[in-house]
This record gives sequence, C-alpha cells and structure tokens, in this order.
Amino acid sequence: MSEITYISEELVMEGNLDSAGSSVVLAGRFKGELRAKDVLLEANSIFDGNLVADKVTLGGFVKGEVSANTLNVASSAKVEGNLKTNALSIDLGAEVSGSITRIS
Amino acid sequence: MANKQAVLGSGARFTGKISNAKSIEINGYVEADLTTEKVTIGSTGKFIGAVDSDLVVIAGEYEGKMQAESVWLTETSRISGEVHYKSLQMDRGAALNCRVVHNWNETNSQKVDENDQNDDEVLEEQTNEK
Repeated sequence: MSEITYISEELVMEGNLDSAGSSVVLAGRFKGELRAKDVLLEANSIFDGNLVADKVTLGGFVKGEVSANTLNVASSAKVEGNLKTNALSIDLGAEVSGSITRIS
Repeated sequence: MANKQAVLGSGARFTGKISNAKSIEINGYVEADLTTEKVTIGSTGKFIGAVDSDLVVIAGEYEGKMQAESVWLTETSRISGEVHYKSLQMDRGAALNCRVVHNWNETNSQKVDENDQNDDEVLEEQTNEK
C-alpha cells in the first residue's frame, strides 16, 4: 500500500494535513497546515499556509511560511513568504520574495 | 501527470475541506465532507464525514452519512452512520452498524401505486384485444 499522499491537479484541500512519517506531493491546491517528511510542490500547484518538513522542493506558487531542513526552490517556483532552512538551493529563474533564515 | 489519482497515504491525517475531487483513495485518516465521483477507503483508511459520490468502495472504516449510486462494502469494512444507496454490494464479514436506506425516485414509487390501481384497466385492454 502506498505511503505517499498525492493531491492531484484538480483537487482543492483546505485544513490540516499531518503526514509526519511519509511524503506528500502536491499538484493541486492546498491551504492550511502541512506537516510531512518529504514534500514536493509541483509546478502549477498552489500552496497557502504553513509547511513544515524535513526535505522540501518548491515548484509552484507558495505563500506563507516554509520550514525545512533541506530546501530546494525550483525554477518554476514563485514564493512569497518566509523560508526557514539549514540547507538551501534556489534554481535560476525562481521568483522568491520574503525572508530567509536558518532554523537553529 | 494529468490523470493521476489522488491518494491520502496510510500514515497521513487530514482534517478540513476537500473540494473538486474526481477520484480519491483514502488509506489514512480523514475528517471532512467529500463530494466526488469515486472514493475508495482502503483497509487502513478511516473516513469521518459526509460522502456524496457515484461510486463508493470501502475496505476500512467509515462514520457519517453517505449518499451514493453504487456502494461496495468489502469483508473488512466497518460502517456506522447512514448509507443511502441505489445499488449495494456487501461482502460476508462487513460490519455495519448503521441505517441503510435504498432511495429510489419518488416518481417511481408513485408509479408502483398507480400500477396497482391500473391492473383492472390493463386486463380490460387485454380482453378487448382478444
């Protein structure tokens, strides 16, 4: 059985998703609190809220706060908000506005 | 990627609102109201809330009010609440502790009554034909 949570393109979810031990892939929209081990926000996905995970890749539109041990901002990403991370990479072309701080 | 099915993994817990879903598989814990075309609640899944769907397959736990065209409750399913259905399949072992309502169109139920009354007329017509 699949451990991964996949929020498909057409799906709109609003609320609190806690997937502490497993991965979440977002292709649709999510608003609220998201907690997971690995998170991938695909290109064209929309995230609004608070994201806490060990490893995060941002590829879509992100608004709010992202806290991740390892964070990659892909070239397709548009980020508006606060990024907290210990290891950061931002691909050429990504639009990032907001603050970047370390976790510890 | 366009037609990949939405899945909530077995370790995941979600509370909130789900909208615009087409087909969704739930293997984790969900507290929400859901309107969709097809929903599968896997054996590790638990869903609490209202469901309005064309097809519902349940192998896990469900609590709430369900309205569905077609319902399949497998042998590991546990249901409480209310099930409104048009067609229902239940496997041996399914645990139901709920209200089960078969809803047919009101127009159909009226037709049944009319048919009772019209029996004599039909007979008359048949004899006339002979």
